[in-house]
Amino acid sequence: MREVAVIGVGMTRFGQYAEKSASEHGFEATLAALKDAGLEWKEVQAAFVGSMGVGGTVGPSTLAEVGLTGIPILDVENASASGSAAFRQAYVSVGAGLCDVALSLGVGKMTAAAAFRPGGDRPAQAFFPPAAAFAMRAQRRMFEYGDTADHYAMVSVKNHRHGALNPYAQFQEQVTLEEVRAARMIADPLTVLHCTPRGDGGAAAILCSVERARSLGVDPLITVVASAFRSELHRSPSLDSPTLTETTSREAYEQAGAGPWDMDLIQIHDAFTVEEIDYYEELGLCPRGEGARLIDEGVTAIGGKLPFSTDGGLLARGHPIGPTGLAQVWETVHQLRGTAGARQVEGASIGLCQMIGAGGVCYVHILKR
Amino acid sequence: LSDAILPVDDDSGRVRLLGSRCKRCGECFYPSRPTCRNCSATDCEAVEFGPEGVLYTYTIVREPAALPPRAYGQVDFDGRVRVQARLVPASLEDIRIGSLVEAILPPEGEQTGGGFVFRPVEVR
Repeated sequence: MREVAVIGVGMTRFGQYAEKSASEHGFEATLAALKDAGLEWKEVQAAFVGSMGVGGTVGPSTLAEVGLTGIPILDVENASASGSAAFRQAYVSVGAGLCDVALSLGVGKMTAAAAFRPGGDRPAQAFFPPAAAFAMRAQRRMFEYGDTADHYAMVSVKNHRHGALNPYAQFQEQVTLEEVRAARMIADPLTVLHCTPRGDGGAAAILCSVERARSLGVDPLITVVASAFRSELHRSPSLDSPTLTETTSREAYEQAGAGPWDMDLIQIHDAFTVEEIDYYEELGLCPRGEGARLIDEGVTAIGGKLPFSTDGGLLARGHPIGPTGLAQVWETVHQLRGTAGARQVEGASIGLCQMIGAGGVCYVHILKR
Repeated sequence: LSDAILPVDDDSGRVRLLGSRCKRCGECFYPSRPTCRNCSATDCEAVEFGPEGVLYTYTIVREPAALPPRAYGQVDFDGRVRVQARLVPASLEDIRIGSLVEAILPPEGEQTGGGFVFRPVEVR
């Protein structure tokens, strides 16, 4: 594989938009990324479009509005990681030399999605919301490691504080520990403020060969130093195999020649607060069972030693599924350029993006200035 | 795949879970599977679990708000398989991780979405 750079990013503010389609979000995000890269659409040679449950061939129909240039356009779907999958495919395409410039785009309109709602062919009393699975993880951690519900609530407080500094976040208001505790209980111990909101949006990143990026005069040059992608290993009470995030991140660290504490910032799949604590451990920052200490000590807040979810994460920036992984790339690129404004991590030069997709799959990308 | 169960022959409503065990690597599964998820062998034998197991974790689901709160548990059987189902304790306040529970037929009239539920084993 040859070296690949990220030369343009764009996104729409995530949120609930009654009047706006997934394609309209995709159109805006694509134009923003092209403008950011200083490219015209005709210079893009391939496109990969991540979405889940939007329907139709959303990629070709969305990009037809930008212009019919005859390039290959592929729709990709990998659950919550669909945007990361689009990024990975653009990386592979440029890295393998199939093209010099590729677009990765993600779109989502979860306000229109029927998934995760009670009903269907199951009785309502059997409705098991996604939050419940993570609530069970939280209960087990509290029993086994001595975490408290407040540790998870502190993740919500931190990520909402970060989101309040991000003009593209769905939620831009801070929440207090007391508000997180007192919010509507979904599944014990997770209140609604421990859970990602439903939302819509679009996000895009343009990748190109380093050679081409240099000829375009891109500065600072941000390259993809790791792209790892794995599916699950079998795990059971008698077989403690490595988790998805463990296997995928180890592969990424090897590619990058760097370890977890070499990172300046990290974005993760914090759909539920407890996940962030799990990932501190699974990404290798500390042994299993000790993750809560990092939130306690403020290590993972902006201003701490290794900030997580600097744009608000799935909890505050939002999680429209298709674009989420690309919003992580958007944030990381701005941080590495030094253009992240009030949430800038001082001197950031290397950042990691992890996404999980139900099923399950995991992507870890590391970007470096 | 099937959620096969076998009522215990004592009118207690307790059930055993009919799973499978890989003859090559020994990994166990519930529901039973024709192939092993661990080593991909296709030679699996039937194995029974329960009715008693150990509660690994649980939660109380309070959504949608129009419905009464209801508990779900994950239960380990013989330290080999982890099975999730509705948990029907006498009181939602009285659920303890690590405690003994048993698989039973769902209470009459309760829509649980499965062929069995878990209830705490009464201390005798």
